[in-house]
Amino acid sequence: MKPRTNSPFPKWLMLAVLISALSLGTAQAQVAVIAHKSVASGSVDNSTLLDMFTLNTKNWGDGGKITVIDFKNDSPSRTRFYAALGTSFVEMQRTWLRKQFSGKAQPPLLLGSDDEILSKVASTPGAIGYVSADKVSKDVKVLATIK
Amino acid sequence: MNYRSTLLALLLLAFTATGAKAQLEDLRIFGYAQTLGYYERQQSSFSGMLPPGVPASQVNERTSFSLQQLNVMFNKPFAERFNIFLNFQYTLGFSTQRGWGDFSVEEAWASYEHSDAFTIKAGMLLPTFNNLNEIKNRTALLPYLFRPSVYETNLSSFISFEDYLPERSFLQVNGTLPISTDLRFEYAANIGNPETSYIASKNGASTSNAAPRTSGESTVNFFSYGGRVGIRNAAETFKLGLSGTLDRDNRRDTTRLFSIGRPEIIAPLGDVERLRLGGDVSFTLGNFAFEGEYIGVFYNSARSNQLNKQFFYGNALYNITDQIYVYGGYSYFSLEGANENAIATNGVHAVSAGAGWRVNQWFVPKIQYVRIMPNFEGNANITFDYLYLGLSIIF
Repeated sequence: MKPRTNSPFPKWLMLAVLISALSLGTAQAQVAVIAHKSVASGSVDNSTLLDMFTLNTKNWGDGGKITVIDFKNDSPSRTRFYAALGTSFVEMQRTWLRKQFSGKAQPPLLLGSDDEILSKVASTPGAIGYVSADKVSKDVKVLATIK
Repeated sequence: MNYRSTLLALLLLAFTATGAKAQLEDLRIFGYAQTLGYYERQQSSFSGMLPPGVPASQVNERTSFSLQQLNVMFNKPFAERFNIFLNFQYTLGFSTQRGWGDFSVEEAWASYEHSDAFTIKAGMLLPTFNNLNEIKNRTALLPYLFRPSVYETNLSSFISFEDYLPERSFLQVNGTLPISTDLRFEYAANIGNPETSYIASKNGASTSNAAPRTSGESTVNFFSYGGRVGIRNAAETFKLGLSGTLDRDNRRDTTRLFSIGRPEIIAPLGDVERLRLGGDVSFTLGNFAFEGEYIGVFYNSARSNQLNKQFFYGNALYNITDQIYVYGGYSYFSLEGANENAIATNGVHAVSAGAGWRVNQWFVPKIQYVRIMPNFEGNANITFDYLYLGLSIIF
């Protein structure tokens, strides 16, 4: 005789909750690349992101200035973002210093949290940054999602 | 000298005093310093017939501290695509007598960036040549303390750097063009005055000056042309390039020529056409990184077999963690007159090994051991051993 479970919830409901929880977990782990709403580009690929975050590309396609915004402190989003680009934040810092000391570019603005980055990107024309996907608001444009 | 120091101090004070306002206007002030403490041991031995008073072997030791480098930079972008950059530099100890060791304006230029593919810079600038020339004095950014020999200012008394490297340009265009999703083509072309021996000094004239000139002006009617073409990937973890310069070497007299790099006094040859050709490669694979360069210097002269020279180096680095790294390197430069001069050498070899600790982005203690080995053909055997302890600070 099969043992009977005493759960008050039907199996289909428990399964639905489990799937929802897993989906929610995945969404939290995703990183959204965001830009100011005035940015004309609809999407960016990893190669373009590298050009922007290494400060080699300084202008959007329409000529507007790119302002790169990044995390000041270590965060899961930062780790995931640079891993997806095939590099690391430490490596990127060296690139920024080299650019800065050669007079070629100024390093990105570094902020402490998703909310600060979200707010700064939303208020700075030409800005690009990245935040945890579940933090994205309608005040910014999502250019890419990194899973 | 005093008035220059005072002027500079006032200038710095003025910038500092207006710092808060300046920041608001996007003026960035930053820089770095590198201090050194080192131990040097010179060991020499000779065999065969020795001149009277020359011991068969001897050891000389010394220790010293020095502020190897201090740079203060000012950068101000304006009008979207324009940029101004100033770099004040203090190198080694203070010595006005020897003509180095005080503050100097290392770079002062303005740039206009039309697009990623085209930027023009005008003013006094470090020309792009191979991988290291443009950042050779950014000591705090380099993993090592003792740079590959022809880049190392500690050897300025012994090596005529300009024989191997272009020192200054006054106009440069450069840019980057995508050639595939991940590959970029880079180019740079520049023009500047000929080497410093052709430049009028404030004490009167250079060795080649026939008429009075304003200090800093060229006294001749030719230039130095140079540039680099290369490819890299988007992440800048791989770079490959070819460089070249075309200028003339001042061989009008012999008084300034003698150095380790020029051990033989070669009769005056006039203004000798000189072609420098360079190749550079650097890449990062996981925690491993490598950089290397070759420079060949070729003269258009009947005595080119004596004048031609070459330099190359390779440096490998391994990041044990994000903070701690170890490295080792080898460099070599050949000397003039090596084929004909009885006491000349077959070149100078240097090996080094060291480690660094990136405590954070701004503070990096470093250690390095260097052995320099001039390769004498005759009976002499001399080695120089250095142990460096240094600290790089970025601010």
